[in-house]
Amino acid sequence: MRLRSFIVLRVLLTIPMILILVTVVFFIMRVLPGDPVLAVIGSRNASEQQIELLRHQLGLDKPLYLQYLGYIGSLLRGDFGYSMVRQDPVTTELAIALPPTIELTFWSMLLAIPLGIYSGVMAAKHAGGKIDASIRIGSLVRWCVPVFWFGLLLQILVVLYGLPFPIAGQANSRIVGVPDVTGLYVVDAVLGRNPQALADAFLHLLLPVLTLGTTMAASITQIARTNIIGVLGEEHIKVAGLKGCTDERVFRKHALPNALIPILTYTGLQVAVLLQGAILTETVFSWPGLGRLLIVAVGYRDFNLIQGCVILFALVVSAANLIVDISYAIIDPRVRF
Amino acid sequence: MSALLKLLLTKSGMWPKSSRTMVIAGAVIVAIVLSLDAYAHIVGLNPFTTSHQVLSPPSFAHVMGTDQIGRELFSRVSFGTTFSLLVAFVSVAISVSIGSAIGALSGFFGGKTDRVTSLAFDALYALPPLIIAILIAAMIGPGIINTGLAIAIGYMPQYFRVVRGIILSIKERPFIESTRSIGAGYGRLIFHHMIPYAIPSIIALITLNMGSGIVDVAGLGFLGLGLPPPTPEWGTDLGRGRDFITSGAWWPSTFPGLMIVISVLGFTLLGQGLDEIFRSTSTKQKEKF
Repeated sequence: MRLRSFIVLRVLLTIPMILILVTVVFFIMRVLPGDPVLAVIGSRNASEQQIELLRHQLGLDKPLYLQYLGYIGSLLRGDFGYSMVRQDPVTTELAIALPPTIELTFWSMLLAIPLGIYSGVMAAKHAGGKIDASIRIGSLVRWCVPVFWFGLLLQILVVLYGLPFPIAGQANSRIVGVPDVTGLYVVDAVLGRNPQALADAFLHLLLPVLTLGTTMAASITQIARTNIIGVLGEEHIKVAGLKGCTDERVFRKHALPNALIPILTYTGLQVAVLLQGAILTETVFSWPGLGRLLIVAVGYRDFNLIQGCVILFALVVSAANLIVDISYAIIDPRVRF
Repeated sequence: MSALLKLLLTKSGMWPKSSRTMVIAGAVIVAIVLSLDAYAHIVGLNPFTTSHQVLSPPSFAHVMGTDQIGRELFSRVSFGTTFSLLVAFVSVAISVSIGSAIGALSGFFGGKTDRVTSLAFDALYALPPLIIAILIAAMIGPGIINTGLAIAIGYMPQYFRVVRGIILSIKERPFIESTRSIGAGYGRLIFHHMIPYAIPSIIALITLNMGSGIVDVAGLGFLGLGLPPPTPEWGTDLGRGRDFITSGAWWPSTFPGLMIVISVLGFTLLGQGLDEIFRSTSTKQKEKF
């Protein structure tokens, strides 16, 4: 199979998966108790007629299979429906909430990958020694600390010691003159040549990124250590040493590149964990991203908005898996056959 | 099963040293957590009594301080063990039984059913467990069984994959065919001759997922979707306590979190250690069943 047909096949395979997921989520939400009409109306004294009217407006009085077919039909046309709570197309809501989440996860991974690989390398180089033991214990303990509690601890430290970091939000509202081009505050500040806004964006990113980034780094450290130790035990490493390579060269040229492939694969597969962590981090730091949107949508049983969020999350996860598979196929031709 | 226990108890000298340390450390930590739980019940601490001493910092009178309505944090934190472990246990029990049963049947019978169920579980696997838990928990409301079920669904694909894979790998082996030829039914074949091969992997997975289950219970509680107050639950408690961080009251959101970390650490150490042991002995143990 040629590389191009491999990629095409892989992309085509994600479509039925997303479709099945949408179907499962669609029916789970409608079968389980929890009425969106009552959630929207709340405790207000609504008459039977009002309830019926709202139910009709939301299209919830139609038979289930008609609702489903209608939803899938509009989905195929790129229409995610209307959000009940926000009174807005779901796509608009998603487009507003996506950039903050991208910003948070991007900087977190930018911290996590080098930190995780570096500490994994340090541990593997001193395997069995004191450095190794402390890195192993440290990463294990950090892995066991829930994301949200780590975030709270950072906030507590900032408050108790009066440190000058913002503990919530994405930007200081007093800063003006930033063009709204991408929705990514750092990029926008650079585009607007506004150093004050740039500094402010980074200050607000600091605590959330530390929270999410170190969580991811902890798991990358563990996997990096295991893989590097595994590669160091292989025959070609001994051969390289016997040829007269220095230890440093053996490590850099022969061990690390081979270990990096599984490490990066694993990192790609951790995207689900990253998103899960992002939801909690966003809640801790009042970060206006997709996680917060999902929590709001779930609170009001806003079916269309929930489905939109779920599709977006699933798309991100399968896109990451796709990239991992494709890069694997490029690096290792055996995968294609 | 008895062969497995024998393996664990008699061959402990052959375990890799680091995994033995992990198993022992994990078991000790879990034992400490459980005894704190037992202590709370035996001494009869009351996690519900309010007092006028609102948000008083940790002192000799109140070891961990008091919360926003004057309840003793120590008694809430130690009573919380019961609820967190119970919900995590319920979720693991549901996901292991349903996930591995479907995995076993799907792998054994194969064909179209297998393809459809695999695709469905793959689709479920594309969503992080916590997101699934958030959806379900919001729809069916809180409660020990409900919250457990909400968390369980996201973990089912893991058991499905492990059990299905193992069944697929052994179903063509000669001893299965010979067992079938002497008249064993499907039930006996699957549960008596095939499932035992999956038990070591399942046990390691169960222990690890107890740890992640505790984190997820607390996560749901933190998001306001877990066990409702006044139930003493770590996640709900630290989520409510965070409103008082800005006024300098750090203890209501610190101590419940500490308990989460300790118990998760215990189960994770135990799970990772067991996993390494089963991996290292899996070649020797195949003949034992």
